[in-house]
Amino acid sequence: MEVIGNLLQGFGVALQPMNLLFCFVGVFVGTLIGVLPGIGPLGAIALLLPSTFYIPPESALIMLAGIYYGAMYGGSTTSILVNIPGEAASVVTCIDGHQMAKQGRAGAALGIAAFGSFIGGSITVFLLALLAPPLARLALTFGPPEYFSLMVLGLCILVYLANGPISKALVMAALGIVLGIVGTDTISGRSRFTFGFFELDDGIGIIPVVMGLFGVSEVLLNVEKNMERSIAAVKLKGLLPTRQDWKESLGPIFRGTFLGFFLGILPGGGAILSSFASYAMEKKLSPRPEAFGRGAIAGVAGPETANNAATGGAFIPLLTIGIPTNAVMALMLGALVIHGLQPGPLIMKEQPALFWGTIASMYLGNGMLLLLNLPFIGLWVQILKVRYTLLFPYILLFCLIGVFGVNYSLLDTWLMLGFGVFGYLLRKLDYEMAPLVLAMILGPLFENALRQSLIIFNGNPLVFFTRPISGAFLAGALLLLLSNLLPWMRSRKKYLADND
Amino acid sequence: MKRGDGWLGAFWIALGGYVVFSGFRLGFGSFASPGPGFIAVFAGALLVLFAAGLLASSMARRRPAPPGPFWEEPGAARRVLLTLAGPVGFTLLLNHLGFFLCTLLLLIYLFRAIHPHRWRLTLLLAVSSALACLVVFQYLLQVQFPGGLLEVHRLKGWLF
Repeated sequence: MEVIGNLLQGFGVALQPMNLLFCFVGVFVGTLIGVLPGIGPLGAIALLLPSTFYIPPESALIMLAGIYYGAMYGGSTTSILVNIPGEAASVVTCIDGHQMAKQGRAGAALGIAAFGSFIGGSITVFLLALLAPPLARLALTFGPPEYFSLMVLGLCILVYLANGPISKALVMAALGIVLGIVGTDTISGRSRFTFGFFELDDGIGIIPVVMGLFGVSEVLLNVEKNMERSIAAVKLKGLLPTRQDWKESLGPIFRGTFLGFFLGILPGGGAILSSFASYAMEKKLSPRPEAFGRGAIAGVAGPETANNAATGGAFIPLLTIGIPTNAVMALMLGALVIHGLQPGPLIMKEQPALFWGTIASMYLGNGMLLLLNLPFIGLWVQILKVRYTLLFPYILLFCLIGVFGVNYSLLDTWLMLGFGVFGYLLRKLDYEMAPLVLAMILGPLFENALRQSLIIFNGNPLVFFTRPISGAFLAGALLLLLSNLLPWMRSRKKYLADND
Repeated sequence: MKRGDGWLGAFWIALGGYVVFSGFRLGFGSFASPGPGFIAVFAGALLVLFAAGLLASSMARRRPAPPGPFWEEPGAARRVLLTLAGPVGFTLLLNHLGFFLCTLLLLIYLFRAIHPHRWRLTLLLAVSSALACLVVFQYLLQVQFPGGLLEVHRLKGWLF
């Protein structure tokens, strides 16, 4: 009953005309950036973050959340029609979605992706409302050692799941912590690594870093290549899936919902991991695994549902514990902090309108997305035809405007360009940027939790291992890192045996 | 191993070493009372450790593949540098020329320099977009961009 009451309160907030408008703007922009390859949800949220200074915090969060799950919807369109994922979580949709398009079934693929996302997103809203209050109560029992260990676990999961070599992901995470140190020490008041720039006393802003690493570097990577792309000659008819399509998709949709939601909660997890895990699971469970890769509708329905469900799950740790689990959530944290709010177990009591309003808006946003993505699919296909050579000047311009508009500081613009070049070079060398961004945002929280724990427990580092919850988090982190060493140890043993 | 991996590994080690050194200079404190440099020492040490691991693993490969070219497509480096010159110029000139002129010049440059579009399309898009940005960001969202050459008081100074 409590959940229903809370949700009704949330709908009261989300249905206010201004919040409905911001929800629509969010899902529209999200779909747009999902459709257009070259700028992901992270870049788009960073771009729109400065504009949220002028609106109430609940409207800001509703809009930013809309961008996140809207991008998941939009990303499937490019995957299916062009075989280019609009954003990383739709990579797996290319495999069967584009095959379906080539067989003249683009409409069914787009339709099931939209319906799956809607079903997944809607069920997730209720799971979120159901699980958030008990998790927030649990989080109230956390002390600084638990927070510290949870952040270590989150970073280890992100490093473990990195696409590139794990050693490079570890370097990026360590570099992120170093960047997070820049600024004034909150305890002693001393400036650290500011090199005389007073603008850096508050630390390096997350917006120039994210815009540089994800916006500018993405443009540089794209202009390097041939920028022309062609849309597959597909017929967009029959967007409503047939009875057989539904029969084959219902199982993947429901499995994808729960899998996506729970993987979304995990620190370091999120939409990308969920879509890949769902695809692997459906292939394994399918009576016809050979059909996967040749246009199996289950290979579209499962991952597309899972990546949308994961966006909802990812809000749980942010809103209940105050810890972002991925880089997008880290920007959401930044948006809340800009409005003077500190996400955590108390936000539900102190800011019920914000908390429940955001959750309810996700349900409304999913409905809007269904309307935006099915009847207006032709419009998105037309947008897809915009040449990248016409698009990238605007991406760069909006990055410049977005960064300058936050603090009116040219130093921020230079920082963004510097991080853009830095990100471009590192991405060419197979370094992944997500561990750096997450570590940079968690850095100050991580440092505070570590120092507080040591001060409270008289400098005893064993406290992190002896407290049960903290010890369990650290054991999990250690297991993850060790599991990554196993293949290396096996190959080394074989090499030594061969040489003997 | 990719071209540049070795140099970058050495750079990370040097950077990590600098962070450790600076951490001690800021004040390590003690475990019971950590100072402002406490976390820097550990973060720098981790950077050195991970970078050394990366360097060692890439050097210890039994048959390292020859590193591929950094830029695979012809003209890639030129396109990247030309693209980068646009926002660099925007940042350098923003205070002098102002938001409107900088936006206009940036768009004209980017539409023409890398994959040249026809002048008519370039000018149409650049002028309309610069005007739209001026209205949306400066007048509607009240973002305080430098006026530069087109600032009203400067124009008045020139005219009267």
